[in-house]
Amino acid sequence: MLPEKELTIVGTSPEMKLTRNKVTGRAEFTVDMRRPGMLYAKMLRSPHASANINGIDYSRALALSGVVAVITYEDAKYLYKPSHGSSREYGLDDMVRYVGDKVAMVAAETEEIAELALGYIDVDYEVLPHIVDMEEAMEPDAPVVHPERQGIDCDGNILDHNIQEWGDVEEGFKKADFIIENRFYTPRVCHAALEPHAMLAEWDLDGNLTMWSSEQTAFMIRDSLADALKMPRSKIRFIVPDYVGGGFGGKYESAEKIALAILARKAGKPVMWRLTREEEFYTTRTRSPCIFESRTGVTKDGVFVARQMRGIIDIGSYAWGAIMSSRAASYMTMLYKCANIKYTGYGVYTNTPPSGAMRGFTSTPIHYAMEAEIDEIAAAIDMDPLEFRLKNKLNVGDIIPLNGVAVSSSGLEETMLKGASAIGWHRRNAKPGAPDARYKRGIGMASYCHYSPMLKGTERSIGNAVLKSNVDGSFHLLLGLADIGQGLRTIMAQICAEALGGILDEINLTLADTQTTPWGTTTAASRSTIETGGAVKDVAEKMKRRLIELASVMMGLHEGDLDTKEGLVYELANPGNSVRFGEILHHPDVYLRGDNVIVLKSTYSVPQFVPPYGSQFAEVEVDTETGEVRVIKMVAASDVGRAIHPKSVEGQLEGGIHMGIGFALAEELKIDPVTGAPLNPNFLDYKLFRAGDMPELKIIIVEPVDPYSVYGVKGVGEMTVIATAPAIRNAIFNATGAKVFRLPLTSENVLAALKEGHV
Amino acid sequence: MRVAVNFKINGRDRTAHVEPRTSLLDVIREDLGLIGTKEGCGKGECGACTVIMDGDAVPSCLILAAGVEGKEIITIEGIGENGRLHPLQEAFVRYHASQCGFCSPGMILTAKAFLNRNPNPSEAEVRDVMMSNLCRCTGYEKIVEAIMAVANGEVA
Amino acid sequence: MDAHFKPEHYHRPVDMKTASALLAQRGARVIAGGTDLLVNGPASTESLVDINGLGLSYIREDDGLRIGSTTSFSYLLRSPLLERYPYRVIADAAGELGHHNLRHVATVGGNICNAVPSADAPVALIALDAAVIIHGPSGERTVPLDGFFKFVRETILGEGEFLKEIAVPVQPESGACFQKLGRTKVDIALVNAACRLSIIDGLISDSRIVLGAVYPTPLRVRAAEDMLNGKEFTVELVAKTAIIASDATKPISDHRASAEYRREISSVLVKRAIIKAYGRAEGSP
Repeated sequence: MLPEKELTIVGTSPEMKLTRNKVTGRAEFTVDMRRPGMLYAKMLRSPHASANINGIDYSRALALSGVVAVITYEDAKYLYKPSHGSSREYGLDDMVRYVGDKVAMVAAETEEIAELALGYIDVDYEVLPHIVDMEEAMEPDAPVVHPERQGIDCDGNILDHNIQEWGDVEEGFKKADFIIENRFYTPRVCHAALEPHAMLAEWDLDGNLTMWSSEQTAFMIRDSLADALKMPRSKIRFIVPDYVGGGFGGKYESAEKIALAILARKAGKPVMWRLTREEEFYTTRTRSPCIFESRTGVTKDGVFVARQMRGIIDIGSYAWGAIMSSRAASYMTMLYKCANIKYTGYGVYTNTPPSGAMRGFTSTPIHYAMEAEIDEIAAAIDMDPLEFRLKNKLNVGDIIPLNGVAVSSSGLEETMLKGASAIGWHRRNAKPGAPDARYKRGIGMASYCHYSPMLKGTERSIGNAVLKSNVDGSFHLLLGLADIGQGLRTIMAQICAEALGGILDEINLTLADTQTTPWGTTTAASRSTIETGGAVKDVAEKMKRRLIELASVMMGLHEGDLDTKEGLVYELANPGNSVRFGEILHHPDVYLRGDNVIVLKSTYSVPQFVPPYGSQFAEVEVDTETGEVRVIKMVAASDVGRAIHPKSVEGQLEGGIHMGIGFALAEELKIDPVTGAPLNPNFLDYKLFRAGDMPELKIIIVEPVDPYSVYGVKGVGEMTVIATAPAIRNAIFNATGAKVFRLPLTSENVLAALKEGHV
Repeated sequence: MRVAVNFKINGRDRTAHVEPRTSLLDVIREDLGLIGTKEGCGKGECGACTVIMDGDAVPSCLILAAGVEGKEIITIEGIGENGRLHPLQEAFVRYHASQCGFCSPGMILTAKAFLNRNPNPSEAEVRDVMMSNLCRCTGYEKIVEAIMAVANGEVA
Repeated sequence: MDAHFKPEHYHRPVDMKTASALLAQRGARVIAGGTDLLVNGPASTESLVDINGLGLSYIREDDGLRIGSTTSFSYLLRSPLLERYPYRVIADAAGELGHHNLRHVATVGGNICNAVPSADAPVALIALDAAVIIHGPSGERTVPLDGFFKFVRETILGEGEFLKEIAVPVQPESGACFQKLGRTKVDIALVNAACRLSIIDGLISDSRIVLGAVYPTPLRVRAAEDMLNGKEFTVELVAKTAIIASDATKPISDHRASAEYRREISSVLVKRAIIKAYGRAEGSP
């Protein structure tokens, strides 16, 4: 519900906590940590895409001076079941399933010695046939990636096969005046956070394990580790340091933690493991490559009558993203009205790097297909693509077929109209194809509705917060979530200070320590602010009521006559009559009873799904001689519900555009189709956009203020990565009439499309 | 065979004894314990390891430590005075140019070396120079804004 | 860098003779900028011979231009000697190599001696008829840069030899242009090209057309030059010349680009380079 009074902290952009440490080099990331006696680990990785390991002899490695311990599947074959997701992966296994899969691990006195020792480990591989192509992997005679899971949860390489239908698409197609069929491919891309993964494991002699890791979650890993190692949760302390160098969905639970824990136990010393940049690229999860085959029917007035999609999701060697093959269907039902929708999805194993969550996760690839198609449909029926979207979109009060929930708030129309105005939508070519010239310009758009907690009503979305008073009237907020660089620490402090009536600087936080903070989920899926922010607001309000209760006695007033602001309790009718929080807690009546020590907790359950919307508009210039695409301007209009910290929201939207442009134009982790080996696991050949590559950006924040979420907020972390690629693709279509179905839209792909009409 | 190399770092004279293969980045992080300089790729592509050497910003992972005899090196710990932030550091805070912060030291040093030589750049020139450093969080927008603010004298 | 790259010795000679003697030993490698060696340093490296102490960082005018082999690209970019075409094409190539900070470290000698087909500096330098001065155990020799490359990562340098200087001769009055296409702005070339030409009595003359990244070595296409020389500039002539140039290429298909695309782009870049070079020969910037 809307707050009764004007907000003074939420909605402002104060200095972010801990930034001063980042800009002065004081920030200690996981890899900067040192523990007494610390050793360094390196991982031996498979050169084969599929092989059984019949034996490992590491005696020569152990004999090297400075090598302390080596582990193999004989030490670490414990099954890691992530707290979400279908992956079943061992710490170390006696089968390898992709080029780069983990084989053995060494702990040594220096990283250099550990790396040299890898060459002294003799592995008896029994090389097996492997499969790289996801469609070929679906065939009955394809080599099987997980033979041990046949009959348990997979059929050949198909882990998931689902059909979801609303209405009757066959009936719907009968009503169509125009039907379009397409096949889209979205590639394997990488998070490429600047900080490579790093983790540190240390046991004490009582059998307690402490792990520090650059991670997006503490509790979910701790729980999975405890289950795998059959330890009580109390004996594992998992800490995410205060500084994490970006996650984007990639620093998120892994079976490697088991291996490191076992290695540290065997070595009897703390062991630090940091990945090289190459390992980052091809041995941590990637975004799943997808194929979407669509069949869509519309009337000549531009109304959807049937939408059908077949999705094949390449879940790689370990299914860290299996949910994608079913969840993708959701987005067909959330943005536009259509009575008849059918989705058939497959999650398919291949002998390639594990694929899983990456910013926009289940949403990004299918939105590319859906939004690219709309502009083609609009062109075919001679309708403005903006008009088409305005006409078909869901509005406030409309029921979302997926979950039966009515749209609670929507800034979608505003994002479309404001974005169109900002790009100069009227300047676009009325029909696809600018006049003949070496350079052709065009304008395109795309919209989205992304995930938010309680997308499916069957979920539970819970946030916890603990708030303690310090005796001077400052406070300490304990949250189980991690700050991965997006500013969660400050945002939560703002919510806390606002609801409490406190001072932002006098709220400090401890995050993501399983020993001291309350249980938390994960900083991912754009969920933290909604889920845990709700708990923070609630516990802060409880603290406020407690302080007012104590103050009312001191001040001789009724509680109803009092309110808080700026760290004071004050009399509403006479604001000059006030007392500082610290004074309250110092009052003898309070502290002699121990009432100055206040520890409160709140558990918040997200009541309902609030849809996050957005629209993006791109102007591009295509060099028709080379196929090079230059994005001149990108406008992103986003329905963020309410911006808790507007500058931070801008930063998220700008960063999302960077990732989206890369997805659109330049990024792909290429896998050799024959050997399964990665071809470009480095920054030279995996092309990230740099400062001079970026277009002019315009960010428009739209705030409908949702009635159900804390301060009306919607999750912003993933938004702009979703619509960037289809907006650019549609702009290229508008500029040239060329349709490119395959991302990335490299100059080579675009030139081929210009020549042939499509790629 | 270890080589003794004498250089100045953040204004102080130091001597390191290094293997032929040791990079300047290794010396900074391991021998000198300065953690502000980061390793992001080890191949000179990402700029997280940027330091200033004799006035020019360079990727320290590609500098042979044995070859820095007599050079003056500045790391992120060496700018700003007596606890006061350097204008670029102040600007990064004020303009929210730092999200995860991993790229920030390198970005700031590249900008510092460039502004020292070129105090009045255009935005296009800033963007061109800042292509030496990768960022995955910010999209570079507020980083460029912060640097331009310093160049325009808006942050002292 | 690879853990197996473990040279035992580091030397920093102060004179050329000692440098050559050290380089003649087994497993010795030159290090100047180090931007390739510290990334791809082979395990067979036993000693590093740092030639930055030989005073080879300079660019001066002396019967044309003389550029020391350890001169960094950023040093070149600051030189007033490269302000005007055709010399300026060297700065154009230098400015597109790597990124700004890398150019403080990478050296022109290193870019040449690495001998990767996509190297930017050699393409521009060959278009200006550059030669290289090599120092070795038996003294010095001069070799046209066009003849310096044998194959991918293979040059004519023999035991104990290293690159001392690049000599760019006095140029005829001419225009020149360097073109490069990459996947993003900071990239190695998918294709690069350079053209230099003069206009005499309204006819193109003394042209040079060089392509990179489309052949095991930088490729000077004399057949394309013959097509241009002695003729009036027309759109059709340029188009024909560009095709002759691209027909001479032998590009490979790799994960960066296909051979077909590289061939196509060769003709586009040569065309653009000729047009721009002609304009500059006429006096436009």
